[in-house]
Amino acid sequence: MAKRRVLWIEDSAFNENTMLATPVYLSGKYDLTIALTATDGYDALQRQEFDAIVVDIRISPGDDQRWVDTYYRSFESLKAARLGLKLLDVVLTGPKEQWRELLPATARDPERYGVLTVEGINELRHDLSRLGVSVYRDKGRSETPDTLLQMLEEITNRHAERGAASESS
Amino acid sequence: MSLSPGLREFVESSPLPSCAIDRDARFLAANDEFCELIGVPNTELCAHSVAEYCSDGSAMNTALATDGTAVVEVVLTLPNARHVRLACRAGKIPPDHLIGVVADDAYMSLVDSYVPTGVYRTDAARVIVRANHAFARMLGFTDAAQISGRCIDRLFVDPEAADQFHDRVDHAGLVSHKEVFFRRVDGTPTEVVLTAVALRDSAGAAAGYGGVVETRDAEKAYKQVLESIPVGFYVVTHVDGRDVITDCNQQFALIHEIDSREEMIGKDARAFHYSQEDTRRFTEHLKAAARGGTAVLGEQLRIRTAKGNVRTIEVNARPRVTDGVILGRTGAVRDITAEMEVRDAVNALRTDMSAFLHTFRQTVQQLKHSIAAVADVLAGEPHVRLLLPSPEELAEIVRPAIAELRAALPPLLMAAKSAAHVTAISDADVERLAYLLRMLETSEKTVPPAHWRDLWQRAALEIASMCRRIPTHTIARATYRPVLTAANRITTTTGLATLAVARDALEAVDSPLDALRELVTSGARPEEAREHCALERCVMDAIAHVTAFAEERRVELHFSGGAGRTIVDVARHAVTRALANVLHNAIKYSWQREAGGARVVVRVLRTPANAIASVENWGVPVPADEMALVFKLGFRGRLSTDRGRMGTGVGLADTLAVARAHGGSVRVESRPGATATNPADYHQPFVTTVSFEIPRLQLHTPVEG
Repeated sequence: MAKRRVLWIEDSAFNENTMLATPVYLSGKYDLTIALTATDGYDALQRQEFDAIVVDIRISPGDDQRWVDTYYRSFESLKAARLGLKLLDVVLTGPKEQWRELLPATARDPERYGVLTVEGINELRHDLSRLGVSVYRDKGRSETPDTLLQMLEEITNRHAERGAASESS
Repeated sequence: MSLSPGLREFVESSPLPSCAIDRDARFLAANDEFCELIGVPNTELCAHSVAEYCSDGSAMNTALATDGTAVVEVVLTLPNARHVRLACRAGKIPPDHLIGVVADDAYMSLVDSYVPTGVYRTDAARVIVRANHAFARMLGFTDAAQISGRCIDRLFVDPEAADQFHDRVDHAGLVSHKEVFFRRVDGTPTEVVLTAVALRDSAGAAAGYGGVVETRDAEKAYKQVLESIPVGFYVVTHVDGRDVITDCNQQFALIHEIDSREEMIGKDARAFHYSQEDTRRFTEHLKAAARGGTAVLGEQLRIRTAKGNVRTIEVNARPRVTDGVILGRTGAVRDITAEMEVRDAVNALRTDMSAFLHTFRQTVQQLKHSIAAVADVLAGEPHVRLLLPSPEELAEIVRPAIAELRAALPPLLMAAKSAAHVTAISDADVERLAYLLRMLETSEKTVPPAHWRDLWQRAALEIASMCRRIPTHTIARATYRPVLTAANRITTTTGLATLAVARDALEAVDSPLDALRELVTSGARPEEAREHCALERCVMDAIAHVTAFAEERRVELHFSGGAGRTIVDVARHAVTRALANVLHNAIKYSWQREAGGARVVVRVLRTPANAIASVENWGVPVPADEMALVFKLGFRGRLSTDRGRMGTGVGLADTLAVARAHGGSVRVESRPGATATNPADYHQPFVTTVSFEIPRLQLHTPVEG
C-alpha cells in the first residue's frame, strides 16, 4: 500500500518535539514532510497534496515578509504570534487570490487538518469551529510519543471513510 | 502731607497709570506707568502738580472738590500733546487726597481683553456705552459689542432690584459686592457680585456709572468640584492639645463615615487614628515638614472610622507654622484602602510565584542529578560526562552497531523459518524486523538528522524487545544474542545521548526561570545592598553559573580580563545574574563553526564614566527589525527555535532591568560574520554583541573582589 503523504508544520520539530516523529517513521504508513515555519508550511502546501496536515499554533514566520510583518504586528500586544492560526485562516478561508498563489483543492479541505499545540482548547475552540478543524491535541496535557501518529491516523481514517462513503453513494 | 501705606501700595501696584494728589493738586505718589506718561521721574514727582497738565481749570477744581461720592474725569495734556482722561475720586480715609487713574483708551484695551472680571460703563440713562469681553462672556454674549447699547437695568432679573441698586449708588457714590441676579442672553439667570460707582462730568452732573461684575458661578462650580471628587479637604487647628477639624468638605466627612461636614467640624482628627503608633509617626513627619518648610506628601495613615471600620488613607498636608510653632495644618486625603488590598494581593501572589519557581528550580536540580545517575547506570561507570552529540557524531558511533545488526539478523531470521521453530518469531514480526533494519540502514538518507537519535533508539528497542520475546529453547542463544547485543549498543548510545538532550533542556530552562523569579519578585522584597567590587569578578561569577551549560553545548567561554579591577558600586548578585542571562543566550544561540567549534568572547571595557561587560557570540542572527523588541518580556525572536519552552524570553528583560537600576543600559548589535555576503540573509551566521554598561567608580584604594 502506498504511503500517505502527511505534513507537520511545527517549529520545534527538531528540538523538544523530535520524539513525536519517530512513531510516524516506524509505522511505515506515512511519508512525513516537516515545515518549521509558516513560510515553509505554506510553500509545502502549494507544492504537494497531503492526506493530512498537522499544524502547531505558535510558529515562527520564516523568510516571507508577509508572515514576518504579521508576526511583528501580533507581538505588539505581547501575545505570542499565533501564526499557525493565521496560516489556517489564509488557507481555509481566504480568497484564492489573497496572496496571489493558488493552492490545490485538497489544501482547502478542513477535514485534512489537525492542530497540535500548547494553547488550550478553550482559547481556540471558537476559531477551530469557524475553520471547520475538529482534530485537536493539547501538547502539554495529553502528549505521548504517539500523539502525532494518532492524529494522522484519525485524520487519514476519517478521510478514507468519507471517500468510501462517497463512492458507495 | 503723607499718603497712607495702603493707598500708596494701591497706587504703585495698579496695572493702569495711577497717581495720588492732594487738595492742592500736587502729586503725592504715582506708579512708574504714570510717571512715564507725564515724563517726570518718580523722584521728582512731588515737585509737580497735576494742574500743570490740565488745561480746563474748572474741571480740575470740580475734581479737587469731590467728596468721594463720585468719580470726576479731567483731561490731561501730556508733553507729547496727547490727551488722556484721568478719573479722580477722593480717598475715603482720609478724605484729603485724590486717587487718579488714567482711563485712556490705550489702557482700556487691557481691561477690555485681558481682565477676567467684567467691567462696564454706562451713560446717565444707564445705557452701557462700554463693556469688556469678560462681562460679555459671563452673560453668554460672544462679543463685547453685542452688549453695548443695552440698558443695564434690563440685565437685572428683577427690575426693582436695578432701581434700588442704582439709587444706592447715586446716594453713596459707591456700592460694592452686592449680590444680584443678571439675565444671560439665553434667558437663564446667573448670580453676580456687582460693584459700581457714580460718574460725574466736569460740571459735576451725573454722567453714568462704572462697574465691576464678578460671577458667582465659577465659585459655585469650584465648590461643586470640591464636593464631587473623591478627595477630602480639611483644615485642622491645634487647640488645647487637640487637633480640631475647623473646616472640611463633605468627602472628608464621608471618608471617616460621618454623614456631613457639619458633624465632622469640631472633632479631634487624632481620635480617628488607628493607633498611637500611627499618630506618633504622622506627627514626626509633620514636624519634619514644618522644620523644612515643606509638606507631608503621600503619607499612608490608618484610621478607624466612626463606624469602627479600618481604612487606609493617603494624606498630603502642609503644617501652618508661626514662630516655629505648629498651629495646625491644611490637607487633602484620599481613601486608598482598596488600592492597598490590591497591592497586598499582588505581593502575596508574587511571594507565591517566587516560592513556586524556587521549588521548580529545585526540581530541575533534582532532575539533573537523576539524569546523571541514570547515565552512570547506562554507561556502566560512575560520573559519566554527558556531552550533547551532534547527529553526525552519533552516527559515527552507531553505524558499527547497525552494521553488526545487519550481519546478525539474517541468521536469526533463517533460524526462525525452520519448520521446528515456526512459532519462535511470527511472520509479522519477521517482516517487522526486516523493516526496522531497513529503517536503521536508510535513515541517514531518508530522515532529517535531528530525528536519527530517537528513531534509532526506538527501532533498536523494538528489535531488542522482539528478541526477548523469543520463547526459550526455540532458537539458540548464540543466534539471537548478537542481535540483542547490537541492539543494546544502539539503545545505550542513543540513551546516553537522550539523557544529554534532557540535561541540556533543563540547563536551558534553569537560568531563565531564575531570571523570571527575580523579575517577578523585584519590588516586593528588600533591595540587595550595594557594594564596591570589580566588574570582572561579577563576570567570572556569571561564567561559573553557565559553565556546565557551555560544556554541554561545546561552547568555549573566553574571558581574559580576570585580573582587571574595574570598580563598580553594585548589587552584586543582581549584576552577576544579569550577566549570566546574557551569557546563557550567547551559548544557546551559538553555532558550531566547521573549524574551531563555538566560542563566546567576554570582555570588560572602560569609558571615562562607565564600565562595560560585553559578550560576543557567532551564530543566530538578531534581525535588524527586532532590535527594539529584544528587551520585551516574553519576546521570542522570529529565528528562535525554542519558543515552546518555559521561561524563554525573560533573560534580556531582566538584564535590562538590572542595568537600569544601576543607572546603566544594555545594547545589542548583530552584524553578519566575516564571510557573509548579504546582510539581510538570516540563514548565515551573525556576530552578536550584547553590552551591559553601568557607571564605574574612580577609587584610589584597592577593593577586595
